[in-house]
Amino acid sequence: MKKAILSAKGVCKSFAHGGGQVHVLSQVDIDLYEGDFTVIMGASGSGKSTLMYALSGMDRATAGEIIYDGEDIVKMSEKRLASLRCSDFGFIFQQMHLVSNLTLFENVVVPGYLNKEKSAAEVKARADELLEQMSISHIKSHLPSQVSGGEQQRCAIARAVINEPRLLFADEPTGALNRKNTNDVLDLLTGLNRSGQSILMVTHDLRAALRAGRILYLEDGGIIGELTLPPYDLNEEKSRETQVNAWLSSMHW
Amino acid sequence: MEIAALLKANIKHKKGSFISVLILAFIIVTTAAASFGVRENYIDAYERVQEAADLGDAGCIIAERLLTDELMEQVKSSSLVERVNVYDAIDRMGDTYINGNRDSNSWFFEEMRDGLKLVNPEYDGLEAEIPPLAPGEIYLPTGLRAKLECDIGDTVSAQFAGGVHEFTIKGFVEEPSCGAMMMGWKQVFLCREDWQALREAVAPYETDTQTSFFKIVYAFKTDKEMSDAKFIRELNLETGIVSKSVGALTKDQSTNYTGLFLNIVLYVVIGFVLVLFAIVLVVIAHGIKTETEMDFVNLGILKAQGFTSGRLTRVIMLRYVLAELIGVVLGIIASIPLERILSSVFKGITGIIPDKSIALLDAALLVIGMLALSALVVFLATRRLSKISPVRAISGGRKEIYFNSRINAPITKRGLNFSVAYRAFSSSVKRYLGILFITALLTYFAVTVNVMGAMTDSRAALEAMGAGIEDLGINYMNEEAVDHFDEFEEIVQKYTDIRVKRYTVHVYYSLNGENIITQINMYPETIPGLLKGKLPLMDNELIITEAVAGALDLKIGDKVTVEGKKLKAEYIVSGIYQTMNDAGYSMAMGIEAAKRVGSRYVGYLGMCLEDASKREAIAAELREKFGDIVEVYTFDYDEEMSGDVTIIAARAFRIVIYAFAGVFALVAVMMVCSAAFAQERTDLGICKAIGFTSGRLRAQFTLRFFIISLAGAVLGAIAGSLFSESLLNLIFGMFGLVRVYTVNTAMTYISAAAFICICVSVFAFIASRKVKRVEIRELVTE
Repeated sequence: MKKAILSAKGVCKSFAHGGGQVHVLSQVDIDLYEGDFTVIMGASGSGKSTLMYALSGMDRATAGEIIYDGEDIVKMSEKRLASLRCSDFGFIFQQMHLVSNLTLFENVVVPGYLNKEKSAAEVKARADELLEQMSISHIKSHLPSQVSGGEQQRCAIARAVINEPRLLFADEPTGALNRKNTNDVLDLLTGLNRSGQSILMVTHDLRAALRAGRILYLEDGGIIGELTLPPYDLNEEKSRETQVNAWLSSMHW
Repeated sequence: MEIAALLKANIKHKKGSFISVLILAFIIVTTAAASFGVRENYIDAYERVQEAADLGDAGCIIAERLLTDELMEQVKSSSLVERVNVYDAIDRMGDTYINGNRDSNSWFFEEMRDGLKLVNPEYDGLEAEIPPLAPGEIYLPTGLRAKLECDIGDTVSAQFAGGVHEFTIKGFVEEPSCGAMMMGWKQVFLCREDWQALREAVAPYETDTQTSFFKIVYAFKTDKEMSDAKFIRELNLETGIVSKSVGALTKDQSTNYTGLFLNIVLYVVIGFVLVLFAIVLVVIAHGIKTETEMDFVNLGILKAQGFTSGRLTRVIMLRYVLAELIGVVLGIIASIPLERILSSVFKGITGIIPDKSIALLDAALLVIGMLALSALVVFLATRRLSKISPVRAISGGRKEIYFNSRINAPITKRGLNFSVAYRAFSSSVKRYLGILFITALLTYFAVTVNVMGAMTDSRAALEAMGAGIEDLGINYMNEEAVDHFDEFEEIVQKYTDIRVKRYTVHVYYSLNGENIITQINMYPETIPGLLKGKLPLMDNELIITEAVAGALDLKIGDKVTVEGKKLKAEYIVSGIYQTMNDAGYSMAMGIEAAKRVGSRYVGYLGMCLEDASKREAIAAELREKFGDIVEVYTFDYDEEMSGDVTIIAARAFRIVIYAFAGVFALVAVMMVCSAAFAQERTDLGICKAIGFTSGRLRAQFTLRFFIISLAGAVLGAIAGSLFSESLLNLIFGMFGLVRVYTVNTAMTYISAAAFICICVSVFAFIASRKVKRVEIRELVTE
C-alpha cells in the first residue's frame, strides 16, 4: 500500500472574468504517492497547470482541501506556504524562470540558503554536486542569458531539488526545449525518480509522459482517466508508447 | 485620429507616469510662478512707491549747520543735478523703544510729507487717503512693524537730547528709501505741531560736536542714463556734499538693500526649481527608456501595422506634454494663493505692500521653456524607437538586460536579503542611474539649504562674514565717556576675560569721492572677514570690500584719498575684506589711521566674553556707575536670533525646501519604483516560487533603493561640500557678499543625506506593496 504525500479533495479553482466567473477546476480529487512519477495530461486549457499550481501551493484553490503532512495547503498562511515551497516542494517551470541576475550556481544555492536547516557550506557542496550531476558545473558562473535553454532547464532542476523536496513539481519542463535537451531533461527526472524522488509533471508531450508510472487525464477541469504503468525502461519504450497512445486515444486526446 | 486613439490608450495604461509628471510639473510651476509673482509684484509696487515718494536718485543726510546756503546753491546749480528736494529731520540721541523692544538704529523724525502711502490696518493693501496726524501721533515705516513687533496704538519712546518723547503709532507708511526692516536708518513722521515742539525741545542741546538737526537732501540726476553710483560720486567731487554728510544712499542702493532678503531667497528658490526641472527631465527620460523596454513587443506590433517611429514619438511626446500642460494649468492656479502667502512674509521685511497680479509673462516663458526642453528630451529618449524592427520585436528579440558586473558581490547565506538586493542593483546599475542622479541632486540641494541655514543661523559663520556679534556692547552717549575707557574694561574683567575686543565706530568717509561707510577700529587686528592682503594695522592703511574695489577700480597696494568732514589724507589699500555693513559696500581702518581724517575716538565697545553668562551682571554694574554717559547692551545670540524675522523666514524656507524635496523624492521614486517593479515582475514571481516571502522581497526591494539612495546621497553630499558654498557665493555675490563663510558640521551633510535616503527608502517600501499582488501563476506559459 503506497503512502500518499499529498491528498486533494474537491479542489475547485475559478477566475473572475468579464463580471462573471470562469471555472477552471471543478471538484478535483487526487492523491500523490511517495516515490511516484505522476503525469497529468490534457488538452490546452484543460486546467492541468492550474491544478499543479494549486497542489503545489503556488496558487490558492477557490474551494476544497489539499492536505499535506496533516495541514491544509488551501488554508496556509503566506509565510507557511513560502516555507513549504522552499523546503518541501520543488518546482520546475516550462520557461525555466531562473533569476536573471544570478549565476547558475547562485540560482541553485539561493533556495538552499533560504532553508535554515543547512549551513552555507553544506548548501554549496550540495549545489556543486547537483550541477555536476546535471553536467553544467563547468558553466556554473554563467548568467542564465549566457547558456542554452537545455542548460537553463538543468539548472532549474538542480534548483528545484537543492532542498531535497518530498515532492517535485514540473510544469511542461520540456516544452521549450529541442529534442536532444528534452531527452536529457527527461533522463534527469527519471534518474531522480529512481533515486526515490516523488514527481508530479504536467505535459502534453507523449515522450515525457512515457517516463511516468501513472498518467492522469484532465478534461474540462476534472480528472476523467488514469493509467498506471510499470517503471520506465528504455528498452520497452516502443510498447509503452503504443499502450499510452491507445489510452490517450480513448480519452479523445 | 489613430494618434488620438493611441494617446488615449497610452495615458490609460501609463497613468502612473502621467500623474507623476503632472505632479512634478505642478510643483515646479507653482513654485516658480509664485516666486516670479512675488518678485514682480514687489518690484512693481516698489517702483510705484518710489515714484510717488519723489525721492530722487541720491539722498544725503547732512547736519543742518553743514548744509550752508553756498553748498546748497552749488548742488542746485550743478549740471549733474536736475532738481533737489530737501527735508528737515531731527535725529534721536539714544535708543528707541516700542513695547519693550529696543532699536538702536538712527531714526530721523520728520514732518509728515506728501507722496507717502498709508498701509491699511489689515496690512494687505493701501488706503486711498492718508489721514493727517494729530499731536502725539506718529507714522512709522512698515519695516519697523515686524522688526519691533508693534502695531497701531502702541507707544514709541524715543530718547532725544534733553529727554524722552512719546508718540502713539497711528499707522504704517511705505517709505521706499530706507523703510525696509534690515536698513539701518529710519524716517518717521510727525505732525507739524509735534515736529516744531520737538525741535524747540532739542534746540538748547545743539552744539558743534553734537547735532540732532539734519537735512535730508534728495538730488535728481540730469542724465538719466548715468548710474546712480557715478552720479553721487561726481556730485561729491564737484560739491563735497557727500563727504560732509553722515550718510548717503542712492536709489539703486535703496532698491538693492530693500529687496536684499527677498532676492536672495527667490534666487535660491529659482535654483531649486531648476534642480527640480532637471529631475523631471531625468524622470521622463527614464520613463521612456523603461516603457520602450517593457513595450518592446507592442511597439513592434504597432510598427508592423504601419506606425512610423515618428508617429510613436509623437504619441509619447503628446502624453508627456499633456501631463505637463495639466500640471502647468493647475500650478498657475495654485501659485496665486502661494504668491499671497510668500508676499505676506516678504512685505514685513521689505516694508512694501506688493501688488496682487500674476506674473503672466514670466510664467508663460517658463511654461514654453519647460515644454520645449521636455519635448527635446522626449525626442532624444525616443530615438531608440527607430531601432525596433517589427520582426525582432514580435519574436521577443530585445537585448538581455543583465550583464556580469565588476561591482557584483557574492550571494551569501548570512545577509541573503542584502546580497540579493545588492546583486539586483549591481547587475543593472544603468537602470538605477536615474534615481541615483535624482537622489544626488536632491541631496545636493538639501545640503545647500543646510549650508545657507548654517550661514544665516550660525554665530561663527555670521562673524566670519563680517557681522560683529558681541555679548556686551557699550555705546558712548557723549565725549566724557572716552575718559572712563579703562574703568569700563576693569569692570568687565572683574567678572570675566574679554575674548574679542571690537571697539568701533561707523562713519561715512569719502573714498576717492565716493561716500562709503567706514568701520573704524581701536584694534584693527580684530576686524572680521579679511579675504585677501593684510589687516590695516598701520596708520596709512585701510581695507575695502570687493564691491568697493570693483566700483572704484582699486586693488591692494593702490593709493587712495579719504576725506572726512574737515581733513583729507592718503592711504594704501592693504587688503580686501567683506562685511554686511551697507550690503558689503564698505571700508575699514584703525583708529590711528582715522585720526588723520578727523575721528578721535571709537564710540562703541563691543566685547565677546569668555563667560557670556556674566553679561547681565556686568551690564548692571556699568549702568549703575556710568548710566549717564553710556548705554550698555547685552546680546544673547540664541535668544535674539530665535525671534529674528529673517532667521524665522530662513528656517521656514528650509522647511519648505525640504518638504518640496520630499514630495519630489516621493513622486520620482514612485515612478522609478513602478518601472523597476514592472521590469522585475517575473523575477519577483520566481523568487516567490522558490520560497521568498512577500515581506522578504519587499525588504530586498527597499534595501536596493536604500543602497542606490545612499550612493546618490553620498555623491550629493560630496558635491554639496565642494560646490554649495560656490553656489551661495554666486548668489550672495550679486548682493555684495563676496565670500560666504559657513560653519558646517558633519550634521550639515548627514541630515540632508539621511533625509533623502529615508524618503527614498520609505517611498520604495510603499511602492513595493505591489509585490504582494504578484501571483506565481503569472509564470505559467500555456
